[in-house]
Amino acid sequence: MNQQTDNLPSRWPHRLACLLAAVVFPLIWVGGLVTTTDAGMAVPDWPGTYGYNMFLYPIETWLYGPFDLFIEHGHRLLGALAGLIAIAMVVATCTTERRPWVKRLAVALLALVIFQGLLGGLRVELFARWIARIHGCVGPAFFVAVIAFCVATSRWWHQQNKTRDQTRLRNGLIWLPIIMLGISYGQLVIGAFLRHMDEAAPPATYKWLIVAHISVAIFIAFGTFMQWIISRQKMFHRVGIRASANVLVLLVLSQISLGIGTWVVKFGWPGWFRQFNFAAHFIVPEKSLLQMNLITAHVVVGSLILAFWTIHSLRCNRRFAAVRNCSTTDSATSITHSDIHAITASDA
Amino acid sequence: MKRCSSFCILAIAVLACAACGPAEPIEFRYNAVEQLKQERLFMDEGEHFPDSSREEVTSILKILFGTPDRPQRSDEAAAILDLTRLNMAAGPVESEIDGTPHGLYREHCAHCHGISGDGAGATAALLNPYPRDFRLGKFKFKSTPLRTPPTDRDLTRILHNGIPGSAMPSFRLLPDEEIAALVDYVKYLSIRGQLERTLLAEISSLDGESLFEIEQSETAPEIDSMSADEVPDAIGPEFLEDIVARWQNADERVTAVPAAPAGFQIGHADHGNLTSQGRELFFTKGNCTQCHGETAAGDGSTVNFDDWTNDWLKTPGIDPYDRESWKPFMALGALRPRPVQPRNLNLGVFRGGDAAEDIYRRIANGIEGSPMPASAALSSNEIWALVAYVKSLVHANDKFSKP
Repeated sequence: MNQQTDNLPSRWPHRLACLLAAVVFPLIWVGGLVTTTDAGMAVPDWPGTYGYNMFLYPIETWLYGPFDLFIEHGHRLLGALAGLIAIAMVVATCTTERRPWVKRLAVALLALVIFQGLLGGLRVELFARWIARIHGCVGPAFFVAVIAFCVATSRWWHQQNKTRDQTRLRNGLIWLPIIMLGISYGQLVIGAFLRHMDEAAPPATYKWLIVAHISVAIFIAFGTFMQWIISRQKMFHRVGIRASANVLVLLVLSQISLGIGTWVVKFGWPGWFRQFNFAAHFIVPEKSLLQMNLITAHVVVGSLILAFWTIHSLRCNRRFAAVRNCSTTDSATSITHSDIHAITASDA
Repeated sequence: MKRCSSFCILAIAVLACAACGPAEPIEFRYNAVEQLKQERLFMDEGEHFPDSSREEVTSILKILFGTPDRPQRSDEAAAILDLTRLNMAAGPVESEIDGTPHGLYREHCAHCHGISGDGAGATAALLNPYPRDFRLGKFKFKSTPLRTPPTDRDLTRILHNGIPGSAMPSFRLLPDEEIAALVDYVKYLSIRGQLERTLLAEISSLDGESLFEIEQSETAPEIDSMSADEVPDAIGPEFLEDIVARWQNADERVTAVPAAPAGFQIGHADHGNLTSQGRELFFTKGNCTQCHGETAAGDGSTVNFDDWTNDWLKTPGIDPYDRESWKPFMALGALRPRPVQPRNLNLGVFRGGDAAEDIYRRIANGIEGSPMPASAALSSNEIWALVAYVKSLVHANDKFSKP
């Protein structure tokens, strides 16, 4: 028993990564609110806040001041907290983790969070909307990387050394999730461009971005449904694949609803609905709580979909992909297809 | 290690790009559609405005109105535009420590109405109806007669209430001073746009001569160094005075609504005989069925375009159904022509307000810029009868039967 405990890696990198993910998720929400409420320029200086050190800005002024200042300063503080946790995570990982690639990933995460902070600062200092676009794309990328780190340092990941199924390559569970992850990120990039559209942009630019956004959404919905069908096969029972596929279907359905809702609360019902009473009477409620939260929820659920595709991709690949360049600590002990059923049955 | 290096290189590249400096300041968009229209109207095929025209018009407007980031208010416009409010609405979106906002127009309006108020903002092509182009000085929902600008109260009301069934939101959650700032900025853009159109029309009458009658090579430095006082009266300020005077007198031209006749009950659907009288007028003297249809569902036989489209489409005689003929206008920023959809009165939604007085004014004054005409031939009692009928439509069961 003791020997077994000694062989297990420290839980601290995983715990800190989970804490980081728990901070980054609301950070993305608040970041979305910053854009939705146009609060990005509520604080004109950086890294300070109106001449104060960011951490010493009077709490009364922050909490009871203008709403956009509350949101923007809160976003900065939350971002700083994410940076501090990332530092702790790097220290914990470098001192306890044996896998070199995990150490590198931890350092890359720290670099990414610093880079993201710099982008936020540059957006304010240079008043540049295009930096806001990059800032909006790097945020979810960082979230995804944190989630990937959580999975890679989890107990489940280590357990796969014993239960990995290499009997047959399943492309539907190896390549499709990776492709969907990439497309979902592309969708998020289009979303960032739509959210941070230049004020002087011609109508055609926005129109084609919307067409692309809707087309990709349809493709993602189709791909997610396909993945869900694949995961329903009996052999994937209790291997953690079904659960993430189920969640993805729910998230994608919610996201499509939120997307429609976002359009309606921003621009009203499309023309062909206007012969209906509810649409003809509808008045767009600018800057209402409904509008702000619905639009922001659309942004946040987008990141959540990305996070779950990451979990799903890593799980599928860890479980079913062929092993290449195995190290001692990260290798899989090949077992047969019948063994996996025996193990999952004993789990039950 | 390779991946780390790649990431670092990418990060440095992005930061280096960012270090190149802030974004270029935004400029007002030149009304190239109007120039092409004037060329088609008054010049022979293949002839164009002098090369210097664009620069001259842009420079005069810059002297008198400033830029989107730093608006100017000339003396002529001092009576109707408040510079403090203009500064609150203009520029990029930011706010001061006490929450005082700047850039309200870009925050709330520019994505649809465009930086120069041309109704061709980024989202415009996807909206139906298109966002309003302020540069013609025409506004649909107002209390003043046709060819008269709206009052501040009219604009405030639209901003406050929004327009149901359209993309125009309600800004009722904004403080009054922010709405007032947006009203002033809309007037500023409208007056600027009207002067731009006037200057372009003036150029078309100059028979190829420059607006300043100076050599093109000398134009830029001379105009750039001018102050508002130095712009020749005959070019800018004189035209501007006329435009401003129309806005200034708008309050005095509000259409008075006479008291409703006996039998008209505000807040009730039953107006007695007035309703049947109104129905009679709807089908006969009022000629409402031509557009609104016999069922009042907006399914009449007439196909019309609004004035914002007709301005560049019909004025120079372009066939709205010949795509090739209007393509050059679209390339310059015009939006695809769309026929106007008359209102379905059965829904009980009236975009300019659903109070009886609002509907009275809609019928009496018509709707500026739309095919809805002013009812010159109807007496006030007849208009009230139409109001009664229109108000009853949403409730009536026999509304589709002819009288």
